[in-house]
Formats: sequence, C-alpha cells, structure tokens
Amino acid sequence: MSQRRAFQVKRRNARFFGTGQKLCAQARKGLITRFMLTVLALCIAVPVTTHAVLGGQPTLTQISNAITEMDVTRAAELISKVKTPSLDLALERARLAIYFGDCDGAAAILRAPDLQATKAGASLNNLATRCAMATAGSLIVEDKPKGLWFRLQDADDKVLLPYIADVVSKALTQHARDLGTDLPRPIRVDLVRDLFTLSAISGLPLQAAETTGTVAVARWGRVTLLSPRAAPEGYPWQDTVAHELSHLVVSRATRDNSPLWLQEGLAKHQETRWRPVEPFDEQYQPDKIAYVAMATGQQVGLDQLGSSIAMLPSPQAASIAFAEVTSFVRFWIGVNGATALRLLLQDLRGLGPDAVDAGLKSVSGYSLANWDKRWRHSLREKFKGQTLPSLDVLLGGGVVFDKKVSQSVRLSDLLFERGHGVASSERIFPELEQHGADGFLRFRYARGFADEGDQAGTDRALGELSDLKTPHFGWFALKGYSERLRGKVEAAEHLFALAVARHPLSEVVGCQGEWQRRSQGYAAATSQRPDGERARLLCEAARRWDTIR
Amino acid sequence: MSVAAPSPPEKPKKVHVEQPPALARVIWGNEGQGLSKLWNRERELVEPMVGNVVKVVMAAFALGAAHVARGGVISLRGVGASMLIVALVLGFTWVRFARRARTDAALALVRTLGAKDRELGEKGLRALSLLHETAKGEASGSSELAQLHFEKLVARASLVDVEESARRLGSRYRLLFWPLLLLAGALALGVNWSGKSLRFEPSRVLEGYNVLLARGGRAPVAMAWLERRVAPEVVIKPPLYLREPGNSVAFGEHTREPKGSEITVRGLPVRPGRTLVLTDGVRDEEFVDDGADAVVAHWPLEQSTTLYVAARFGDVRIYEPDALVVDVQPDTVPKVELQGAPQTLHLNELESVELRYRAVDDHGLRQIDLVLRSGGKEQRRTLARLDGHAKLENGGHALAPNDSFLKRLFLPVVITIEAKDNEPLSADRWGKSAAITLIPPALGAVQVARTEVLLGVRDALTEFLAWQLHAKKSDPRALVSQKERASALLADTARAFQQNANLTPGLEAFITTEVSKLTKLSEAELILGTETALLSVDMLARRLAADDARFVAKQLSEVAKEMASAAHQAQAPEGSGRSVARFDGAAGVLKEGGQQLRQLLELGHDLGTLTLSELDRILRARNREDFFHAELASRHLALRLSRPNPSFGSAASGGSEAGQGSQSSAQGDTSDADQKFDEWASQMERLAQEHAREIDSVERALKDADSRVDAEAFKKEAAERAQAIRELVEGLPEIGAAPETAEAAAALAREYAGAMAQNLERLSLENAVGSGRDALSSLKDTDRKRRVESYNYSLPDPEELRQTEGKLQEHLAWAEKALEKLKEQSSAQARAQLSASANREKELGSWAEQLGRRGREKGQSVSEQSLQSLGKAGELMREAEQALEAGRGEAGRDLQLEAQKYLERASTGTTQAGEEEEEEKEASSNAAPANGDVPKAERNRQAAEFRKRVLKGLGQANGGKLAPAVKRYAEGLLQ
Repeated sequence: MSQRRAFQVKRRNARFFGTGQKLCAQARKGLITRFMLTVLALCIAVPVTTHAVLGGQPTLTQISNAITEMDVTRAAELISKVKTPSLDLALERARLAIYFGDCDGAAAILRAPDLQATKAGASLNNLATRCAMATAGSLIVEDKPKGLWFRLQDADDKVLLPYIADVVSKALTQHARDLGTDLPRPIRVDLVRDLFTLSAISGLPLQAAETTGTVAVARWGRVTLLSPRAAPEGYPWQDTVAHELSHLVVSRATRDNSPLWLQEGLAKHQETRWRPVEPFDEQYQPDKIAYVAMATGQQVGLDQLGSSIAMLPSPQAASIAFAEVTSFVRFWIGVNGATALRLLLQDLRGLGPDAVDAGLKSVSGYSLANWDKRWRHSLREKFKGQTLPSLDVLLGGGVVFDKKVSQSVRLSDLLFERGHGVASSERIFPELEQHGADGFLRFRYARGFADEGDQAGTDRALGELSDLKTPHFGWFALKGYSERLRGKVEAAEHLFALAVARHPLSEVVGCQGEWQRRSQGYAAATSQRPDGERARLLCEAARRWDTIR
Repeated sequence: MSVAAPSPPEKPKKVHVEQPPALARVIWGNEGQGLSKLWNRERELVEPMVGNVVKVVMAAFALGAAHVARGGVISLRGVGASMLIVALVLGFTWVRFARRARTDAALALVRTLGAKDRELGEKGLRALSLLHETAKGEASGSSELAQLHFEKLVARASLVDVEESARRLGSRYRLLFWPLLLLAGALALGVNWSGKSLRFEPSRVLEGYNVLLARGGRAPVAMAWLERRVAPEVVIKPPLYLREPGNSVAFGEHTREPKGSEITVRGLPVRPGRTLVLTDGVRDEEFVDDGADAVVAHWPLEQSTTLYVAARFGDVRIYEPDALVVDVQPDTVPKVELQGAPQTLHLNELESVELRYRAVDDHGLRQIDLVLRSGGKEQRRTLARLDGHAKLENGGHALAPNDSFLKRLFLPVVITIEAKDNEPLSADRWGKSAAITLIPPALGAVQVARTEVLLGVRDALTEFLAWQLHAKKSDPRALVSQKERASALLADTARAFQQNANLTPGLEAFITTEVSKLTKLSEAELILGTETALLSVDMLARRLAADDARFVAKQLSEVAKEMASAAHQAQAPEGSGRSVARFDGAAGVLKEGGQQLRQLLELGHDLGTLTLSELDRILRARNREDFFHAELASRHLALRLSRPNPSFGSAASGGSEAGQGSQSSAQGDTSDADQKFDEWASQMERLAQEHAREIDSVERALKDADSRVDAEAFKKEAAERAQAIRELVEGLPEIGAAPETAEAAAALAREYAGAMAQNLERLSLENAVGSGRDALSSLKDTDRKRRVESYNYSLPDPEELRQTEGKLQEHLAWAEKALEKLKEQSSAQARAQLSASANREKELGSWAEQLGRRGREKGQSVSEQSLQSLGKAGELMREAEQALEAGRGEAGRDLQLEAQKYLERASTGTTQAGEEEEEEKEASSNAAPANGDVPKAERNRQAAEFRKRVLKGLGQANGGKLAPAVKRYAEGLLQ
C-alpha cells in the first residue's frame, strides 16, 4: 500500500472514530455503544491486520508514528523489515537513533550528502553532530529493574540519581493514572551541566534558552535536564522533571498531535500532582495571573505561543503564557472531567495535527475558540470586584532586593565567611524590619548564630514556616536541623526534602543543615554526617562543590 | 671416378646377437680366415676415416657451443649447453658403435658379402639366421648343414670386392672431414668479422665457456679486460662542496672516501668489442670511449662498495681479478651542544632564557636555527647563516619570557638549537642539540595570584570591619586606636601590592585610595566608610575575577582545540604515538588551568568545575583509547569555553517551566566605585592623549612656520661674521692637548667657534647660537684653568683671550638677535594655527578642570596625588593657552609639555587587567603609533617597546613620526 493510500485510510478511520466517540458520550451504558466500539475497533484493526497477514513492507508513516510514540523497539523492528532504502527511511533511521540517545549513529547516517542536501536532513544532522559532541564520553547509568537510563555529562551528578529516580517513578505513576498513558521503558534522562549542552542535545536555540531561563526540555523521546549545580541558587528540579515527563506522556498519547497550549497546560497541571501539596504551592495562582494579564493587556493568548514557550521574548511572557495555559487546562478539566481529557488525548492521536478543534468538539461539544471565551468569562466572573496584586507580585514570591539590602547581604556574607557569624547576622538584621518574611534574609540572619553554636539565637532568627512568604533552601535545611535537634525527625526530614527539591548541592542542604564552621576556621561540622548512604554521598558531593567563598 | 656400389642388403632388425662360442667360431671362422678376415679388412679401411669425421664434428659442436653461449642470455646459454651435450653424445655413440660393430655378424655380412652382391648378402643373412635357429635345437634342421651352407656363402665373397667397397666408403667420409675440420678450426680461432677487419680471437672460446659456466650472473674464471701494462687510472673525486682534491687509487686497494664522491676509472681495453662495465655486482656503469682509444666509467659513491671492471655478456659478467674496495665515509650531521641542556625550566621563574650553543661539523656549517616546539606548533628562527666553510660556530641567544611565541603557548615548549651543514643533496641535514624544556605557568595562575591579592585586601577590610563592630559593642574605648589600625591596614595593602607584579597601577591606585580614605575618617564615619571600602574592593575583585575567568576560559578553549586536534591525529595509525603524547600533554594543561580557573570566584568556579568535569568526560573516552569520542568531547568543550558565559546564563534565578514559590535574591552589583573610578581614569587617559596630540599639532605648526621664514636678509652679514669668527680663533691651539688643561679648553673653544661660523654660513641660527654659547663657555674655562696652571706658551696672552671673548660675545649677540627676529617672524606666520591651538588648549583645560571636580565628588576613589597633578596640569594648560593666543608658539609649546608631564602623572590607568586588550594590541603591534605619544609606564611591555623605538630614533636624524615622543622622553631622562 502506498504511503498516500495508507494515510487516506487512516484519516477515514480517524474520522469514523471521532464520530463513534461522540456516540459514546451520548449513550455510555447502552448496547449500541458497545457495538459501535467493537465495530470501530475492528475498523482500526483491519488495515493493520491485513497488512500483517499480507506481510508487506511497513510504511514510513508507521515507522514515524512508532518513533513519535517512543516505541523505539517496534520502530527498529519495522525499519528492519523495509527492504527498499530511501532518503525518507534514512531520516527515520537517524531520528530513531536520536530517540535511542545514539547521536553518533544518527550523525553517521546523516553524513550522506544526499541527506544533507535536504532541509530536514541538514537540520537533523546539525542536531546530531552537536549532540554527539555534547554526549561523547558521558557517563551512562542504567537502572534496568526500574527502567531508567541516565546519561550524565558531569559524573559528580551521579549522587543525584537516586533522588531523580524517585521523582521519575512517582511522576510516571501519577501521569499514567491521570492521562491514561504510560511510557515505554527505559525512561531516558540526559543530565547536563549547562545551557550550552542543553541546547546542543535538545536543539533548542541557546539564546532562547538563556532568555527564558529554560532548565529542561522534553524532546526526542527523552528528558534533558539541567543539573541543579548549574544554577547558583538552585531551582525546583523535581517539579521540572515531573513537568517534562508529562510532555513525553502527552506526546505519546496524542502521537505528538497536541497543541502547545495543551502540552504546557497539562504539564503545569501535572507537575505537582505526583507529590503531596507543599508549602508555597498555593503561591502559584495561574487564574489570577491570567486574569491580571488579560486585564492589563499583557496576555499572550492560547494560540499565540509559537513553537515553544521557551522561544517567547522574555521570562515574564513565558510565565504569563504558562499561567494562561495552566488556568485554561484546569478550567477545561474542571468542566469536562479527567475522563474527557483522556478521550481528548486519544482522539487527537487519530485526528492528526491541527485538528484540536475537531477533537474538542467531539469530546466536549465546543471548539477551542468557544472554550477560550468560556474560560475568560469564568475568570472575569471569579475575580469580579476583586482588587488583585500586580503581575510582578503574582509572578514571583521572591524579589530581587534593592541595592541597600543587597549591600547588607553582601557584607553579611563577607563577615560570615570570615567567621564573624554573629556580626554577620547582626549586619543583616536591620533589613528584616522590612523583609522579615523572606526566607533568603531569614536564613542569613540565622546562620551566623548557628555558625557560632548559638542554637537559641538560631531558632529565634529562623522563626516558623508560617512566618515566611518566600522560601529558601537554606532556611529549610537549617530549620530541619533545628527540628531534628528538638527530636522532631519527621518534620526535619520533610524540611530536608523541601531543601533538596530546590538546591541539593548546596552544602547546607546536602549536609542537612550543617556546614564547615567558619567561626572555627572551616572545621567540619561537629555532629555526625547524615544517615544513609545516599544522604552521606550527597553531603560529600555538596561539600566538594559548594566552595565559593 | 666413382663407382656406384650395389646397395647392401638390409640388415635384420635384431642386428647384434650374442653368439655362443661354438657358434661364433662357425660364423667368424678361424683367425685370419672366413668372415672375420673380410670384416677386419673392411673396418681397417673405413673406421679411421669415420672416426675422424666424428671427432671433428664433436669439436665443431663443442666450439660452437662456446660461441653461442657467449651471447650471455639464458636462452643462448641453453643452446650452447645443448650443443656441448650433443658433441659428447656423438662421441660416446661413435665409440660404442665401433666397439659393437666388431662382433656384429649381420653388419659384417651386409658390409662384406653384400658389398658387391646384394643377393649374396641377403643369402648370407638367411644363412646366419638358419645357423642361429639350428643352434637352438634339432627341430629347425641340421646344424651341420646350416654351418656348411653358411661357410659356402662366406667363401663366395671376394676380399678384393670388400676392399674396393670399403675404399669407396672411406673416400666419401674424407670429403666431409676437411670442411668440418676447417669449420672447427675457425671456431677454435674465434674468427670473426668486426668492423672492417677479420679478427682471430681464440679467447672468445674461453669467454664462451666462462659465460656458459657462470652462476648467478658471474663467470667462474676472472679475465683481464683493461691493459695491465699501462695501469688503469682510478681517480676518486670528493663532492664539490667539500672543496677537497681528488685521490688516485688502484684496483686491489682498500680505501675510504666521503659519501657523494665520484670514482672515475680510465684504461685501455685488452680486447676491443666487449661491453666493459664498472660494477658492484648489482649496478653497472658502462665504460665509454673517451676519444683517445681508452675507455672511461664514472661511479657515484653513495654507499660502501666493492667495484670490479667486468665485461658484460648478456646477463653474465666476467670480472677482472682485482677489485677496488671503497668504504663510504658518511658526512655526519652537525653536532650541536646547548649549554645546560637537557633541562627543564619553569618560565615564570625566569627573567630570560640564555641559550649558549656550540655547533661543530666535519665539513662546514651552513645555518643555525633556534627551534621552538610546543604541541603541534613549531617556530624556527634563524640565528646564523654561514658560508659553509666554518666547521665550528659558537653563539648565544636570549629568549625573553614575554616573547610573543612563548606567551601564546600553554604546553611545554621544547627549545633546541639546530644546525645544518653544507651538504646540498640531502633534505634533512639538521643536527639537533639536546632540548631545554620550558614549562609555561599554569593558565590562570597569574590571574589567581592577582585575585588572591585583592581577596587578601578584602579579608583585611572585613576583619577591620568586624573588629569595629565588635569593639563598638564591647568596648567603645578600643576605637581610639582606629587610626593606627587603618594606617596598619594601608601599610599591609602596600606590602601586598609590592609582592605582586601583576597589578596595574590603576588597580593599586584605586585600592590604595579606598583604604587611605579610612585613615581620614572620624569615629562616627569609620564603620560606614569601611563598609563602603569593603564593598568597593569586593566588587572590584569579583568583577576582575569574572573578566579573568572569561579570559582564562578562552585560553583553555584553545587547549581544548589542541586536544581535539591531537585526538583527531591519534585516530590515524601512522601518527598515533606522538599525537597521544600531545593529547596527554594538553590534558595536563587543561587540568591545571581548570583548577586555577576554579579559584576565580563565581564565574571562575562555574567554568573551572565545568572544565574539570568535561575533562573527566574526555579522559573517559581517552582511557578506552576511543579518540573519536575524545575528539568530539574536546570540540564541545572548546566551543563551550570560547563562549565563557555562566552555565545557567539566564537572568532568572530558576526556570519558569516548573516549581512554585520562587526565592528572593540580592543584586550582584553592590558597589559601583570601581566603575566610577575606571570611567574617570579612562577620561583622564583620553585627556592626556588628546593633549599630547595637541602638542604635536603646535610643534608641526611651528616647524611649518620655520620652514616658511625668509632668512636671506641675514645671509651676507652672517657670512662676513663667520669669516671674522674663524679669523678670531685662528690663534687658539688645535685639539690634542692634555685633557682638563687650559690648552684643551681653548682648543674646544676654537672648535665650537668653528661650528658657530659654519652654522652662521648655513643660516642655522639656532645651532649657531648654541655653538657660540659653548665657545664662550670654553673660553671662560680656559681663563679659569690658566690661572691655576703655570705659564703656557702655546696660549695667547690673557689680554688677547679677553679680546677674543669680547668679539665672540658680540657675534653671539648678533646671532641671538637675528634668531629672535626670525622666531618673531615664525610666530607671526604660525599665528592663525597657534590661535586655533589656543582654543583647543582652552577646551582641554576645561576638561581637566571638570575631571578634577568629578574626582573630588563623593564616592570617587581618585587619589589626592592624581588630583593635585591634574590641578597643576590645568594651570599650566591655561598659561599655555595664553601664550599660544599671544602668538608665543615656543613658550606655549614648552608650557604644554610641562602640563603633559603632570597629566601623565595624574593618569593612573584603569583597574582593568587588560590581558585581552594586550593580546589584541600585540596582533596589530607592527603598526607603530603615528602620533608619538609616550606610552604609560604601567604598560611594561609597551614601555619596553617604546624605549626600543626611542633608542632607534635617537640614532637617527631629527624628524620622523616619533620625534616629539623622543624629545619628551629625552627630556624626561634628563630630569
């Protein structure tokens, strides 16, 4: 069967399937539904079965779909059955190699001049070549029982793998439950050292990554994640992992036919669902952000996201866009239910690209434009008569302090590093009058006392979690240490986990609230190292890493 | 007359049968009777003649074989051998035949009974057959009857008939014998037709057999080919470049000659027509006719050899018995000794690398090079080009650590001295010395040292702040000693600066000013002041460290490129060994550089740890000998470091993809004092440059005006006065008296006066005035010295000297006046331009005032010394402006020069290290600045280059683009 014919058959089946879904919605419990579903299933199965029975060569579309759905084993099998070589097939082979993480292989395939003469071939070759350079000699760690495959640019990041593995397992379970699709194993994760490598491996333009502060990309069937050590103040890497995995799940579920707003909206929706609600989660209020952006004319728009949110012109535009799509998707799920979401994803899989309206209509009865209007209306109704904070306030709990506070912070840091702990705390204290609820300042205020062994002073300076409006990894770690001293082990562990979720390679986090005491001439902490192998390794790695004075 | 003999009866097939003795007696009969008698007689008459023919045929074949084999090629030698075998077979066959024929009854019957009567012969044969049958048994009949029958038949044969037949046969053989004998004789004599004559060369037979018996292309018996009575001339001529005479030797000798010599053998051939060669058994050089009946061959001597004269016959050579054994004396490459080598030196511990060498060659040196190798890079510098005669050359060379080639290298540099001899034929004739290996400082070491100094100051300030905070809290009275503490801090800072040569004067000035401010603050202001100074120094340290980190990262990027290149080469089997060493060397440098980079604060830590982790990745591949992936990873690192941005270069503190509740953060820029200072210092530098340019324009204006001034009006009088001056000093002594005497002073006065006269004639009034003043001074000196000396007859009397002095004074006054008038004219000519310069000077003066005001603003870190110098410069600029406006060009220019000195004193330069800037400047260093500005002292390298240019300029005539700078520099030296 020619590719064109196969495509037509698929389209016809897909349309028919769409109609069937609508009938399903109308008569869910009836026999007619069961009958129709059986017929539809047969309709889908017939061409495939026929193909299998006749034993013909797989089509490029089949191969491409298998790759897009990350079913790389099947894709390899299909390719092996093709006896007629072609440029398109070579491109698919190269694409498959990249999905496998074999950039060398892809680059070798794409070295053929005929392939490089094509636009797609040249583009893929550029990616494969840069990727091959960025991954050559990397450390590969595979956890076969868990179905995880990690490639580390910096071998020292190995200590983070148990933590990442936990997140991957939990997030995938949650995504499978919510989205009705699981990912084939192994799950591939590239942990890179810098944005330069992130760009080389993912193909995301470096400038775009730097502009929007991209820390991870889900592309080519794997997650490429920036190592927490690359960001001086860390970043919420755990939710980022869950976020990116969600992209892979949606890509597989929809055969990469989902529009960007759905991809990003679902990813934001899913990124925290794998874990219990944590402090400061409530600070992210996408509905409010979307509403204020709409009200102030700063909205981006669901259909104006371009090829990637990372390609938007500024971090603020990216944050607004994220908030809009999150708010919209939550609204849609709220109205239609999680089952409808799963049906929509399945429908998009068959409908192909640019058919989101058809999918939305078949599943929910309205087009995207209609849903957009309904969502905006709901936001207006929700915040009617309310005075909302500005976008700047809504977008970030934390602030960049003015020069005066920054100078105090710096002086405090310098005094602290020279072992004048109490002096450093006292130097920052005046700034707490205005920013007393800021974790960043609170931590600096408390650590000076802690460094000189003044536990009472430390506790007083730290305050309670409820006193804080903005988080800080150091505060979590130091507070956890205090809690443990008080015998509140569970609370301490929770706080340590919160700290690790932000900046695991900071010494105070990695060593669970302890550090080399400056007031004692950088002597190692007096108490024992963290319990457990992985915590101990993390502490050692953090101590090796966190050496800027 | 020949008689046709009847054809003999056919001999039965089984000719010869051994007969039993009884039967033999029956057949042959008694001695001298019967068949034996007939047969013996027949053989007597025929056999000798046949034997002779056979012998001569054998000889012809044997001799012919020699002649054929002489062709030398394998086919002819095969034919020759075959012919020889044929001759032997023939002889053997004849002997055997003759022996057997004696007892061959059938043959005897045919040749005797059948000689005349064929039928009788046949009957005889049948009778013989019957005899044999009856002898076997009675079944065939009676033996007696058969015997009787046989005897009767034999008896019928006539002896006469047998003899006649035999003689007839013999005469036939005789007819064959003589031609064959002639042929054999000719072959034996080697008769041949050569050219136009018939030659007899029996030696050809010997040559033929010699060739036939040759093994491995060499004949077994040696033969003489060149006349021995006149010994062959063998001359060995050394190669031309050795300039040595030739050497005569003889075959049979053993000699040792330089490689490249030419051996010439000349002699008379013993036997013409042979292809004679000079051979070593492998290669032949053919003898050719030299036009004087002799033959000559030339042999280039490339290796030790044994030479023979030989004649070539096809593939075979017949050698002469004597050989010439020549051992080659190779031309050794020069030996070079480099003093101190081999040794390893650390570049940062050296002021210069002194290279003293000695090159020796057995024949002569042509060139000596200094060769610097590092990684894949090589630079050759020719130290000496020689004429090829000198066999020994001593020399020295000093290599500065800031050599442009050394500065760009990061891998160990292997230094060798290499010498080439005068041998022109071989390509690689370089003799190499042992190496001195220079280990360059670790990349980033200089920057780390600078950062450490700044961090030291920062720590000291932090401690000072902590002390104040503590003292304020615990015991306010302790603050009394704050001034002393601050002064001690300032002294410590100065000491720290002295220990590090890599700090720019701008940097030192900034920090010193920041710290020295503390000594002037009151108690109440001190904590705040210390905090401000601390933040300023901290910010400066961080900013410089970030700049340094970028600079070092880019250098490390080059190292990574070198690794990639080496890894690429290591993939090729032919170059793997050296490339691997090169790769490992670069990896070591990268590791060390990464460790240094890691110490350069935030950005340095980021890029340094990244470099080390990437190196780890590269080495992971390298340890598996997977150079393909090592190359890929190295290229990635090279690209990364060439763009030395932070790993997470976003303005955001975290990604916007995920996560709730972002953290607060502090601004990075906590002080802008260093930036303000740099801005002020840059402005100050620009002001100094602009002012220097303005001085140039004033000087040009004055020079142009000078060239337009008309001095012709003074020409006549100047010539008269010149003549008068010469006459005036005629009585003074000539140069030659003892130094420091009155006479020597008078002689000097005479010389100066002569110079004055000459300058007057040329209308060079300025020089004339100068010489005149010197002459007067010398006359005064003469007077002073003669007072303390005893009477000197060679000097004019004191009165006469006083008169001379007076008259000379008068001429000088005239010259000064004329010069003044010319200058006035000149100033008038330059007035318009000077006025424009005055305006510009005014603008520059305003700029200086403005900079002074800005430097005194709060928060500025400009030193009081700089501000004072700037103020003084401003005053002088105002005065210069007034002078220029008034048309007093010379005075204005002098004031400008004075102001320029103060401006340059005020300008400390910025705090920036400027390595990258220096590198860029170095790239375009060939173009010397056109304005002749004096480079600032802090730029050590530039200053050194400037000094070189000045020295060069001082050695040249006035003028040129560097003239003003030279003048100012010279003035500076004088002060």
